[in-house]
Amino acid sequence: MNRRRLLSIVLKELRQLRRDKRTLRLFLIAPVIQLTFFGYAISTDLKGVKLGVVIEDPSPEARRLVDAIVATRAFDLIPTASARPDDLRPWLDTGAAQIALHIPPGFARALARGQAPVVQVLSDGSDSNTATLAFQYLSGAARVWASRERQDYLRRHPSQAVRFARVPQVNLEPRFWYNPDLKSVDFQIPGVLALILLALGASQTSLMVVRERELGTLEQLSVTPIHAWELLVGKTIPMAGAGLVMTLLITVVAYVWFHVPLRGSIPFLLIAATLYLLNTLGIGLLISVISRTQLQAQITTSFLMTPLIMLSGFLFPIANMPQWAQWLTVILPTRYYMEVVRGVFLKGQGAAELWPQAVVLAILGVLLYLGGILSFRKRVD
Amino acid sequence: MSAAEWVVETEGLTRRFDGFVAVDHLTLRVPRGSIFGFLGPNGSGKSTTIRMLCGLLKPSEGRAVVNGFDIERHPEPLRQSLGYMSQRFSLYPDLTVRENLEFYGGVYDLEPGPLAERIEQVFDQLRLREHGNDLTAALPLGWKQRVALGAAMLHQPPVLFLDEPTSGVDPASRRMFWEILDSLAVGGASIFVTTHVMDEAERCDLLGVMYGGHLIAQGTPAALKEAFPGFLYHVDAAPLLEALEAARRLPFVADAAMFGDALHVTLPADDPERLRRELESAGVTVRDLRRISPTLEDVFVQLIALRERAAEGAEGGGR
Ligand SMILES: Nc1ncnc2c1ncn2[C@@H]1O[C@H](COP(=O)(O)OP(=O)(O)OP(=O)(O)O)[C@@H](O)[C@H]1O
Ligand SMILES: [Mg+2]
Repeated sequence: MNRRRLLSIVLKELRQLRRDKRTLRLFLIAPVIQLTFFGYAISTDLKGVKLGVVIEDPSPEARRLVDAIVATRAFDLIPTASARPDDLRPWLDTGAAQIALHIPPGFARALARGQAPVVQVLSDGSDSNTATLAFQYLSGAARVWASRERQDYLRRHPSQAVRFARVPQVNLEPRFWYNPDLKSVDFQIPGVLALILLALGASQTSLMVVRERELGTLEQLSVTPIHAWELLVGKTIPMAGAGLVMTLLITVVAYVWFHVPLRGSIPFLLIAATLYLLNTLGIGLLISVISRTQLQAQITTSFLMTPLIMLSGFLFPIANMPQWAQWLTVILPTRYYMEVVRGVFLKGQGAAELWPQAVVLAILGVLLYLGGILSFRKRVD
Repeated sequence: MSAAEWVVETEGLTRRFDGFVAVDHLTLRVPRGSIFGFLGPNGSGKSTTIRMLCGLLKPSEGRAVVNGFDIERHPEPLRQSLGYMSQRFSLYPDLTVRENLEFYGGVYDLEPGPLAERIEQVFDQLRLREHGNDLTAALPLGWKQRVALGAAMLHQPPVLFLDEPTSGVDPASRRMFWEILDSLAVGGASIFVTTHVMDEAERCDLLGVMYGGHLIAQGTPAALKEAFPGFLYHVDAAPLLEALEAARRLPFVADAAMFGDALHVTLPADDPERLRRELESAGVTVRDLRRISPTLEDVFVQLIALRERAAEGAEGGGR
């Protein structure tokens, strides 16, 4: 390896970057836009979902269940005085309610007998996102309610503990335990990190390599003694630097501006970012191998970005995906980095918990990066 | 001459693109220390040959030795010993002249101290100093081409491959460029240059003419002119176009071509009076008719015309 050749490339890239105001602006603006977008515009927080309730069992227990649901602040209760079961369907049909709850007769009696009463939930499935989320909120509220009821009952009837224990055990931990307020900002802003580094690595890197092919400078370099790997490593080093700077910037903005909790290890976050960058830069190199023009590189990049992001768990939980898609995520670096980022930000994790993800990122990264370099041909034909 | 005296030596060098033969069994020898002019019409395979000799394209067949290195077996030392200017301008437009040279110096692994000295030297030699700190994109073409030459010769390669280095460049810059090439050749460099300009071809020590991937003629400019077959006449006639048509129809005329506001007509025998008689009986006024010695352009045009006619003949015979 020749250090002078490598450094010449790095210096040249930095000089070009310094003059490339458009790209520099993009480096600055892209994270801002993404953060604003996911911080303000796109929110999976549930608010103002119209909820209709039919109570055929006017017991205090049923009353308290409805109270617990209202306490989530996700629902607007529609006026339901003297509602009957026959009203349920028309509510949904006319759009008067998006979710309808039916507490059947004998609800309290079933509880007292130690059975798990069935509460019917009807939802307007045409907006499946809202329906899924609403259902999660409802089950969360039901769990909170169930645990309170249980404690309450035990306090009043200590002798009956054995009998009550027959009520199906509920998981007292809310499902969103690492995001207790269910704030989607907290969940998505860290994901922006994965998104930006992917865009930087895949898109910017492939563009910068393909641009040299278009300019003819790649041909010029091909007659010099420089090796393909020196050229590519030299080109990707400044990109990786930019990626790490952006990681820090986004982290600061997320913490200071969006008040996303930052509970875990920042050094580990940076290490994982470096490993993740190896992946995204490798993807960029591979794209540049198969692209003749910058336009081709752009199109290929967007083709690849879609599954990489959609299947990363960024917007939809991986557990909700069809089985084949879940299998596919096993080889997606975005998935592991997303886990690292959310783990560090929201769960306060570090190397102790997230080392498996880091190892997978390292393996995938080395494969992609080396693959990119080895498949790059210096000859023009 | 011993092998070491050939700076480029090819044998049966061939390159095909999907069945199309761009360079067809080219066998060529270029002596060291000379300016070799590589001529030929568009698409005749000049650039393809140069790109193979620089190690940019893999030959489909045949072999070539450049500066003593087999282009396929020793690509690394080959790269260190050649400079290449592609037909397309290919330096970084967003770097200054100096930054471009610094970059290529680093790529050729020159130490910073000697590199800085060398850049000053190149600035003087190529008269680049005035715009040394300007962005390359902003320079006029003549300057850009000199910068490209500077980048190609920075590491003092013994061989320079220059693919149409002066195309699109104004006459004054062109002359300056060739003065530089002359001084490099005097300094011992071997220069392999393509051009479509006959004035430039005239300045070469040796010429090779390509047609359809073949080398159809080779020699010094003087030797090529000497080898011109037949007798060449300058014919000033009116109307000119009709004169050209008439001349071409005459069976004893080997070739006729427009040359400025006159015709150049080639006859196999020295019989100008017959030409004058025949042209006048075709209704053309001949104002002047005299024998001239051929220019390189005559040689070139005729070489190509002969080939084209042969190709047409072969096609016609095949039908
Ligand atoms: N990469 C390629 N793929 C397919 N055909 C090619 C390729 N490169 C060159 N050719 C073809 O090979 C032939 C010779 O091209 P070449 O560039 O060597 O000609 P040239 O003599 O340099 O012409 P010019 O004077 O126009 O520069 C042309 O017909 C060209 O279309
Ligand atoms: Mg050419």
